[in-house]
Amino acid sequence: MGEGERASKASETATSTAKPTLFYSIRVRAFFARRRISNLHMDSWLFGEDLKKKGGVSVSVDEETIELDLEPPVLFTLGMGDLRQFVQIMYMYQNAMLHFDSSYNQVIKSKIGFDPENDISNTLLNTTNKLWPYMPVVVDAYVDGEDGARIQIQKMAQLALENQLASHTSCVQRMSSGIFFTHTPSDVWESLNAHAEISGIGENSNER
Amino acid sequence: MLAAIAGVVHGLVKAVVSDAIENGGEYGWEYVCAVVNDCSQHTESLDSLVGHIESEAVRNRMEAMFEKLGGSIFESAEKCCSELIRIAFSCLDAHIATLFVSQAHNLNIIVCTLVDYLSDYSAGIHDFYYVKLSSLLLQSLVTIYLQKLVAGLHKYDQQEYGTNRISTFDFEDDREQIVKGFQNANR
Repeated sequence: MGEGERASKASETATSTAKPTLFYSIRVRAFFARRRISNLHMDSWLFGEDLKKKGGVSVSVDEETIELDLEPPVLFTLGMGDLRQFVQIMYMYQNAMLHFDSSYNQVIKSKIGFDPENDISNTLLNTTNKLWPYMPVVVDAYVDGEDGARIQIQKMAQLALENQLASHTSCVQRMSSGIFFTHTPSDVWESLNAHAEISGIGENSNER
Repeated sequence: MLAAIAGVVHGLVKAVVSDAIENGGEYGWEYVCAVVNDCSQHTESLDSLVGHIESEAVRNRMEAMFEKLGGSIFESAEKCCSELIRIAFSCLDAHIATLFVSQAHNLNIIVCTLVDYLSDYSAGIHDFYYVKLSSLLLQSLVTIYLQKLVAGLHKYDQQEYGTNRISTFDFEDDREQIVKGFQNANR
């Protein structure tokens, strides 16, 4: 089958479904129904890898399994901003769940009293964040993805180094106190601090 | 993420310092001073980064790694200080050659030149590294002085009545010159 035919067949498959956008449906299901879509698929989705390399995949849409024997395109690639927000939201969500769990248990304990032999309070609100196991994948994608944070800061540092080595003495500045310096550390750390925020550095890091 | 940051900072500092050491003489002492001060700023930023980690468990885990990195940056800055010393001594070869082998014995010129460099360095470099630099410079001068003394003794030993000529140099006066010079520079 030629590339053109494959593309047209993919287009027909996409438009023939009841849903307005097949890929949107897949995306939502990839998020909330990982039993139906393999982990491999999920990982590829997160990393934005080209699924063509992995051959066809089968996905479930509205309880029906559609065999995608065509070469599926990358559904979409999460940008750094999206991944960053995703990580932040996930941490907020996880913390909120733990907070609810803890608060609820404390309230129950205070009302029914603590009975070590019959402590049912811990089982009253058993919250589980089913998305939490995917955090390492998301963090890996953010840090070590194709255009991840590591590569970005390496490129930035390389650029800063090249600028300094190219300008040499002309980049040397002098403070009013007489101390010599260059702008390279402040330029570099401005970017590094922005990336570091995601590691739980806190808002106070902006002071630097 | 923090490990990636540490790696990038380490690589950047290493590259800048290598370049400064290789071409320090060409770029001038001001540039080398700026590199030393930049090392100091990197260390401060790293300390601040670790200090702002909210999770105590993560902070404890990262502290060891960042301490090691801080040590590595300090070593790099020390190498730059050695380059500053090399720059200071680079114009003194002719005068060093006169120590204990000629009546000129230009120790006063050597001390005055080094003190002059030190006063320049003291204005352009952070106090923390200036103390280190000053100490290294004095150490280098004393080492060179003793090396020349031993070389002079060896030279005069091979002559018929040479050893007596070493005694014509006033060691106490030399010591006074060095001590006073460095005391003035560190005021």
